[in-house]
Amino acid sequence: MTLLNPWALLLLPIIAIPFWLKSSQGQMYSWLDIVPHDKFSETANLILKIITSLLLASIVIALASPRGPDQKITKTGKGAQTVMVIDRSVSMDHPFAGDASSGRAAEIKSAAARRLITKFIDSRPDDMMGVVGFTNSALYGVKITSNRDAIHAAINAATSSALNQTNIGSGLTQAVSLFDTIENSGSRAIILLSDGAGKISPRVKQKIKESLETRKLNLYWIVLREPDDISIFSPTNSQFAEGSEPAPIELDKFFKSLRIKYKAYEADNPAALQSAIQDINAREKKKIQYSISIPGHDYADDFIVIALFLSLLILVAKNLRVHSWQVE
Amino acid sequence: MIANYVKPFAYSTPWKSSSVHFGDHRGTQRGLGDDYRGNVSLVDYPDARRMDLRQTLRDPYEQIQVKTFNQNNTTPLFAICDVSSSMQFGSRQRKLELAMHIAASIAYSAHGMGDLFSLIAYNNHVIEDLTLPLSHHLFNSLEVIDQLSDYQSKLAGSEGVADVPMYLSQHRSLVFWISDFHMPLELIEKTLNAMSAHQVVPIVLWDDREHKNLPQFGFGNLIDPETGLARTLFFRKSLRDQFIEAFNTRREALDRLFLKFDYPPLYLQGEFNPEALTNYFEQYT
Repeated sequence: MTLLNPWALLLLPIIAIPFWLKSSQGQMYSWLDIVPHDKFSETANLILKIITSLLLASIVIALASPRGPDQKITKTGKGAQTVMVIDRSVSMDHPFAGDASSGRAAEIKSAAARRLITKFIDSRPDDMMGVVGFTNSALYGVKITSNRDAIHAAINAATSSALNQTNIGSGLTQAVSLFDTIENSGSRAIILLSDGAGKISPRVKQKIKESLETRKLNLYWIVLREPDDISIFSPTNSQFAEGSEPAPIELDKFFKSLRIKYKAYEADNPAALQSAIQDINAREKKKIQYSISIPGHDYADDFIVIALFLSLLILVAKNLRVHSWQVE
Repeated sequence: MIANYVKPFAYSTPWKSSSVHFGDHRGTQRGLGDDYRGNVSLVDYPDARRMDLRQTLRDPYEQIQVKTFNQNNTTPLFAICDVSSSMQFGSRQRKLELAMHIAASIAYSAHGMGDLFSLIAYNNHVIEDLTLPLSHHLFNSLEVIDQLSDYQSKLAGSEGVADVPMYLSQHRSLVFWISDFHMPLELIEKTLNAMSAHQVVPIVLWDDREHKNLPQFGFGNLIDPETGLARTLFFRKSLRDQFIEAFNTRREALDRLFLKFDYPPLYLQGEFNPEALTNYFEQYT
């Protein structure tokens, strides 16, 4: 048991006030000596004073906010410590391919990503996740945590639109740095969700390569593709000369060259995106162990409730007060 | 102008006044009166108008006899007025106001009978500002008595009554002691002992609201204006019964004490009714 505000106990002497101060409110009575000694009244008065003292004591103790000891709990989770790296470029706000010409309102890519990732998060309650968004530079979302509310809020923030640029390198380096502040508990993965790729400079490539390989991070890349875009799985990709490939193919090649577990997915509709996420879900099933600390019980609330109850009693007693003598 | 609260009443004294002034009460002074005193010879009392023929003829020494009478004399009246803080009790009319009405009526009645009047007010000491020497000055008396109406005192007890007998006349007087008698019986007894040369009329001012009309139910904080002490009581039926019981006991104790000195008390409350005093004198003197 610890006190957060021990100085509040300095106020403790005020509990003597009901016994110390004499009430000057009341009715004048000509002669107190003739007033009969009434045991019941004395007891009632004493109880009232004790209640007032207890009320003051409860408030003072509540101010001092006592709390129980913190508890550390080791939780076992299945799945990975995952960082979602989400593209926030303007193109994410376009609908999925094909639907524009069909005349139907299609689901926006970012909305589908938000919906499916949220579902993915909810299906893995013991996981720890972090969120990083990026456009022209990385945007810190939330650290790797198991706090669901924080993750949801970060996903909501990261799937809203921003600038028309795609700086994957920056997003990945930021994502990698998130793993530095947390204990390695088993499998660790980065899920990169983007709708295209940008060129990455050789310097950044080298940095990403080092950091991913030394940390043994798994990388999943989900490409949200529009139909006319080049597919990274197209058999004709070999036709491009070395060094002049389109950005996605070059990035895919780069990722493949890393000595880590890497898998790429392409999704051109929400169903494909869902199946990609499900595949990742199935792959990351290792057990992880991590400890969380649960804050101790806050006794201040209990004392406030006691004070509330006691003040109700005092309110009742106050309404039982006689204010004036009856007039004959 | 006489205030409308001044209500005269009739009184008489059961003893013979030792005053030499002509008044309305039986006196010890020989003079013009109708209280037959005895016969003396004309030589001793040369007043031919009072010759008693019947007694002269029967006198074996053949002296001419003269009737003598006692002159009716004045008697001093004292109103001792308790102005201690407890006399402030009351809502529509404080006890002090009732005391003031009674004192003013005594002053006026004394003037009507040609008697001397004196006012003595006390709380924890005798208050000289509200104390008057014996006099016939009715309007001066009424003016001073009127000052009682806005007299305020806090934390003032009634111990000053012990000094009051020193302010009384050397001669036997009629003393009205107007108080709530909320003081120890020993103090009352000591004071009565010191005043035993006089005829004391204790006028006890009690209010129904002190015992009969208490609050019905609930917490009440009673504050004693004389000591400043407070007591919290939880009013209910049984406590109200205890109050009535306490006041009955107190009344019996006061009656017993006053009757020991042969001073029957008069209990008054509410509006002052002069017939109460008139009846009192018809009953006891």
